[in-house]
Amino acid sequence: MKKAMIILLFATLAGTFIGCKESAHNGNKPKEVVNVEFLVSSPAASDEQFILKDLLQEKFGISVKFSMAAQGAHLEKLQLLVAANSLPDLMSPVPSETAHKIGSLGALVPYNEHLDKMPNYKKMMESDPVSYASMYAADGNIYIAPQYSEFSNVHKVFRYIPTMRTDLMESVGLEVPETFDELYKGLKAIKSKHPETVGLVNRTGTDIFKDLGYSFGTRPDITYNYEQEKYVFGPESENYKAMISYLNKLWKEGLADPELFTASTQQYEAKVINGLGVFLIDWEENSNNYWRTHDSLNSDSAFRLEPIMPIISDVYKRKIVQQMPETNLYTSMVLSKKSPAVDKLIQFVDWLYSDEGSIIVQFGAENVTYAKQDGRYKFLPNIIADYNPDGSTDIQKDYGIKLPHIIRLSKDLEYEERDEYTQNSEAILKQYIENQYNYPVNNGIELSFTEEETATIGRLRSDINTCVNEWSIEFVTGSKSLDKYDEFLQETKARGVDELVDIYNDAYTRFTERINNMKK
Amino acid sequence: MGVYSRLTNRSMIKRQERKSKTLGTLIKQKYLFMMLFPSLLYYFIFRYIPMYGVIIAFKDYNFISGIWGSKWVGLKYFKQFLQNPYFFRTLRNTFIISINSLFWFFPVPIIFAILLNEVKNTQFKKTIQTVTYLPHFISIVTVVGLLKQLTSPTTGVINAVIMTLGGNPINFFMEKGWFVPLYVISAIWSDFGWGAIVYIAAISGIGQELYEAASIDGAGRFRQIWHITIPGIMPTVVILLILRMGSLLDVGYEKILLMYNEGIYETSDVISTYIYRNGIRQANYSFGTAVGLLNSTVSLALVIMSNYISKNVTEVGLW
Amino acid sequence: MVKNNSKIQAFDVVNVILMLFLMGVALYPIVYEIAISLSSASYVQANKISVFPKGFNFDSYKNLVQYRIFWISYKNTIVYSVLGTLINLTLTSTLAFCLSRRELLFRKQITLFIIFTMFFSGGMIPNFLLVNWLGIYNSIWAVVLPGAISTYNMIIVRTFMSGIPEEVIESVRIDGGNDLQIFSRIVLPLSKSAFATVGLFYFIGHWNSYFGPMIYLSDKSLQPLQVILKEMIVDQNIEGLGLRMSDLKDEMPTSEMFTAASIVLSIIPVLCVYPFVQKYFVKGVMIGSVKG
Repeated sequence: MKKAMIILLFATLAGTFIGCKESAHNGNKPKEVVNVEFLVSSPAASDEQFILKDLLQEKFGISVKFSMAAQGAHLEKLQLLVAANSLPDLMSPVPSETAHKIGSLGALVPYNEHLDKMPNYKKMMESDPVSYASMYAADGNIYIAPQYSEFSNVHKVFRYIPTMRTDLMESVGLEVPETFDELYKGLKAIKSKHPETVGLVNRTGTDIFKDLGYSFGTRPDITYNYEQEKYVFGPESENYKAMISYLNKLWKEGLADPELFTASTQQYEAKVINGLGVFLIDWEENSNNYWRTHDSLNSDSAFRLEPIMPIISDVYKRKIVQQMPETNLYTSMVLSKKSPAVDKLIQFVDWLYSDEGSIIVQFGAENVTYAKQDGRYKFLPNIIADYNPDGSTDIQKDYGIKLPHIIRLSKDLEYEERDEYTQNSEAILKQYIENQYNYPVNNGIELSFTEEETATIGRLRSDINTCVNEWSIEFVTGSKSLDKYDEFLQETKARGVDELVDIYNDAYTRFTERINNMKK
Repeated sequence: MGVYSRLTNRSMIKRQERKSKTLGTLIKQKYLFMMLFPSLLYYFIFRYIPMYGVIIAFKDYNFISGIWGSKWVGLKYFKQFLQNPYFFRTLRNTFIISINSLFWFFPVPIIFAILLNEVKNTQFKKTIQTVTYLPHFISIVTVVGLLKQLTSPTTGVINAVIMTLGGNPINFFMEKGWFVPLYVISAIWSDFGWGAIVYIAAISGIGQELYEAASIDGAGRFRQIWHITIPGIMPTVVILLILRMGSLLDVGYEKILLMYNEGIYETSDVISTYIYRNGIRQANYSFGTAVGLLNSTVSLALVIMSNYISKNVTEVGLW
Repeated sequence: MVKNNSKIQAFDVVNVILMLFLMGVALYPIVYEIAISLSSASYVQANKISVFPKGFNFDSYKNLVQYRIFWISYKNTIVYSVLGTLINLTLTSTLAFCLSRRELLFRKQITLFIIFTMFFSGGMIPNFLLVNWLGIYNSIWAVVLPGAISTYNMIIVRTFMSGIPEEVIESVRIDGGNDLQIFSRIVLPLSKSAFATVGLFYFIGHWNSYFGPMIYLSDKSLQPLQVILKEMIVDQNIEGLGLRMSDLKDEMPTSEMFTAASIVLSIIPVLCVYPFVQKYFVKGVMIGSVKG
């Protein structure tokens, strides 16, 4: 009953919209409705319950049917559908790599040919030229509709940050570390006073080389180097070696978790919550969550797990921290060229980038799904949210709203209940901005490659990554001595790393050309 | 007429005899063939028709051109696989893991079924059966998660015991030498009960009177097992063993993906995990198909060999 | 009737102890998962659960079963499993029977024809194209037909059937029976344990199936339990922001509690089915068929 009421309300809403618009133009001509199929990876509501059903029908003449592919096989299913020539009308998320690949083969709609009908999309693109240039496939077309985010709060910008048990540092009489050397001394002192702790903890396996790499000015793969202004192979630099030796030092002295590379998320979380983890790099939300959980299970109030200022290494001497990119190309929305409803879908996609459309797909309708509080959107009490723990309705599964893969313009406007933990971390993060930590670590550049280049990359990249990760772990654990570092570099050369670096730089040249052309 | 024409006459007559004999047998066995028909149709439609897909292994497959339109590249992907720097290692690991599984895992359900059969109380027996086959249903993700917790060098039970006994904690998942034992032991734990079902069923087919006769003759427990139970399930054991030889190269990637890390790739990276990183994720179907084809050929050869050996030794075979 | 040695031997004692140990080892993780599914999130996250639930609540179950789609998928799985297994057993038993007859014309060739398919297959793409071409995409037939016969299971049944003594078969022929009657009067009744085994294998295969239905079905309302469960246990707190698809570990982070609840919910029906099957594993199925 309630659901029917809500859908009715939306229909009325839609009706008034259309009524205003249409009466300005022709008479009341009934719009023909086309069935379209949306393939999304996130859980979606069932077709009947989808709260925006009538709205979309009225506004765009599309009747939406969700087809699903569950986790882990979304891409396989997508590719099978391409093979069978039966692509759904709209698909999201599709990684830009895949989109470029199948788009170039003619399966997808090139948005660049419809820019005149997509004012909102165009506006977003022009606001971020680097991402705009990254959206092009090597054949000169744009096949993807990425997700943009508008952040209004510091803790949405800086989310993946170094975090530490500051109470333990205090207990050994030390200040919060600012350099890696101080961190080392701190971990050492903590270990001798609290032998049950394990020091540095991690759950991302070998991705820790990426996370720590920022502070050392390096990466385990081929990335853009700001000083040299070109793409280089990270491990070739002294910086990478320095990072590996640092980790080796920690490992040797028992200051890093023996399960640094093998811990599952559950193991890692348990370690942090139970006080074993001392230093970590993680999402700020998670750390607050661990602290909260710890406090709910223990009564010692000394425990403090909070973000710290980014740490400096001797080799790089810069404070670096990851900043969330405002454009996410990797969860893009694409349209099938063969769809009979291309024109309608183009309008729909563009609407998703408009202020009005983005609010509706993210929050719903006022007094139907949300109420405004302090200028922010707060879901009604029956809807499950952090601030509505007793809710019974799931906004995604029951109403089909707030689906991350449908939202194209994410507005950071949801009401948040800030407790002491969130406020504490926010206060620290504010200092990031004041101290100019806006270094563009994620520069937003996405290169696109020709078919031939893609084939070479496919052939070489995985083996090179394997080589780098294997040697890196062995250096860290000490099973191979760092004297053999040159041998390691030789092996990567034998695997063809130079060829890859050239490919990346060629693609980068094309990218800079494109950006320069855009500026003209 | 010469000798020659007499001979050809005879062979022509023989052929005609054979043909009518065949036709006669066909008619005699008409019910059998009627029963066969739907199954053979199934195999033809769902197994043989799609086989043209192996051509992907010889082409640069892309989705738009389809299977027929894609460019022919011959042995390019086979070479890519056989010449890749990790080929020998992945092949070796695949064999080591597989043979170890065969050696350690294969007998366990058999022995378990035999021992279970010796339990006298039927109710207890049924309970044991039901309980021991449950681990099969726990998803592999959970199993590996549990294994990691048990063997954790910081919080795990096993290392706690080791340390109490005065030893140093072992970082199991970082030790190259421990990978295969962990893999096999967890496999035994998950599937010893489930794997025993076939043998339990086979044992139930052995006539009770054989046991009765044996005990009248004064045979004890072990002799009964040796002379009745084991020969009774031998055909099943042999057939499953031959089939198992055919899957010697089929070490699946799912479990290993959860258990391995680059630090122990040396003993844990197998063909299927390598393909996973190189093939599926990059949508390199051609590459994956080429390797699959190689795999199939070797497996078939292994089965043919095992079948031949088995038929000569035990007279039991797949065909 | 002469009883076996009714004295309790040392062997029995050791055997029973061994069985109890194995049961414990097999049971512990199940108990652990049940405990997790009934505990509250903080304890689970801190890994404080061993045998008994802490912070007892039914939330993980409530969260799964409150959705209509959960029950729809449950129903789907039951339908697919039952229909699928019926088709499986019909085809498998007839095929195994024919192949177990030594006098079958072209027996070796047909056997090879079938065994060859255990090794060579066209792969995901041609199979998908075939299903599409047959017009069964997104229907129950795409779920039950492609796997209608498992050669492995069929060979097991054939092996059992080959074990039926020739004299028994002959007795039907002497009475003037044809192959159909041999099948229905003798072989079928005597192969009950084979059907129970293989039927169980097929049923459980359908019950746990994930990849096939996920690829061949697009309507959510047709999806079976495992697919829906997997979708539901994904940790919803991951937003799309800032996450690269290529950086995502291949499994999205799942909530441990919901995983545990889904394991329990999947096991319960399986536990119910097994006792029915067990009665066919009783000794001496062939009593009375053959003397000595």
